[in-house]
Amino acid sequence: MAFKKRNNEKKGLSLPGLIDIIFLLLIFSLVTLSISQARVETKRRGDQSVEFPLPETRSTETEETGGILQTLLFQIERSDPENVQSPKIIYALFPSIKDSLNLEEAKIYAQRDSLFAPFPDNFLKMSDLAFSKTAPCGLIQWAIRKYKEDNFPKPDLANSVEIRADRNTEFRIVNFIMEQCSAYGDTIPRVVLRTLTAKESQNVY
Amino acid sequence: MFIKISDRNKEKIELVSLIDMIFILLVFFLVTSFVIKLNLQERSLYVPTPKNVLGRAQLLIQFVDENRIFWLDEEASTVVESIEENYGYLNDASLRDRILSNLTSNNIISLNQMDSKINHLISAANQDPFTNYFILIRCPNELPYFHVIDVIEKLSSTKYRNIKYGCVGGTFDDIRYCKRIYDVVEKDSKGNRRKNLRIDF
Repeated sequence: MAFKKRNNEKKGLSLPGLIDIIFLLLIFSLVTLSISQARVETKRRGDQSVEFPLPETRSTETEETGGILQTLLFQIERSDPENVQSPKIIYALFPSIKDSLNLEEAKIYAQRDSLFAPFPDNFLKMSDLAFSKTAPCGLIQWAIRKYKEDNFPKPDLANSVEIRADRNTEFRIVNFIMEQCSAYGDTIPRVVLRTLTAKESQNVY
Repeated sequence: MFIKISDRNKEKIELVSLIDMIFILLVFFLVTSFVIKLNLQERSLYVPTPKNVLGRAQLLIQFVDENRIFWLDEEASTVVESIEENYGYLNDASLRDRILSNLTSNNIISLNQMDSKINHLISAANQDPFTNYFILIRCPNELPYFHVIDVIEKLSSTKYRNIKYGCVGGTFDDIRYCKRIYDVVEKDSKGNRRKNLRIDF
């Protein structure tokens, strides 16, 4: 005798499961919304828009950077951030007299005024003399000299030049900037390297 | 008589629970990655510019490559002194080769070893605020500069800030093929006689 199997169990989504999914979708959309808003906000402030990887540190000996450019800053990044083979470009970012430019605005001015130059592909193989005669090194020398003449009339511990560079930037470039600053002795006694550091770090300077 | 056991009781993962789990994991990773990013902010690290004078340092940290460091400290000057005493009859070039061969085999260390030496140095500096240390970091041109930042970061974590540092460009080959490496006795700022290692490039 054949018994027909009764199929009492309904297949498909159960109500509690459905509510679970709806709630999760709600949380997901809320979180993504808050993230996108936070990113827009940081972009607007101009101090967190790190478009290339800076060196990360856990040091407490770092100082908070404001969004506004305070001194001459050399920004070194790849011409194509997605392509690690693309040449590095240096931008000389000058602050405004009113101290009102953020990094992005200063970069736009640097592009407008041609205050940028790409490093040649073979710059690591060049002799020191040949390297110092390349366009980006010429820009570094000119920018430091000009900024020093306009803003650093005498030696002062507070005088500094900033470097904001991709963490994989070759030491030769950073060292060249430091050497150019050291040529002015105690007039530019230090350089400032921009890093990514934990927010809890205290300002000890 | 054979009874066929139905397959009805076989355990299966329910679709609803699976979607639940996937969403929970997604939200979790999203939130944690966001929190990690939020904790980082752009900050400034000060580095003194190199001075155009004869370099003097108690400690030399020379990057050989990304993973190896040539570490020269006071112990190295003791080693050099003993080689000079034992092989003083050799000419300058042979003596240099012997010294460098010894230093190269004993003083090239890994990053982890460097970390432990720096920690040791920091604890010594933290115990005596009146002793100042000066560390010279030399880095080859082609290495990414974050290696130097990593070292500076560690050196700058002293309680009394009595470890000073500077960084310059230079390769290990500069030291290996230097003109001369020898021990000198000099007086420090307090008038104490100290044995120092001098390298003529």
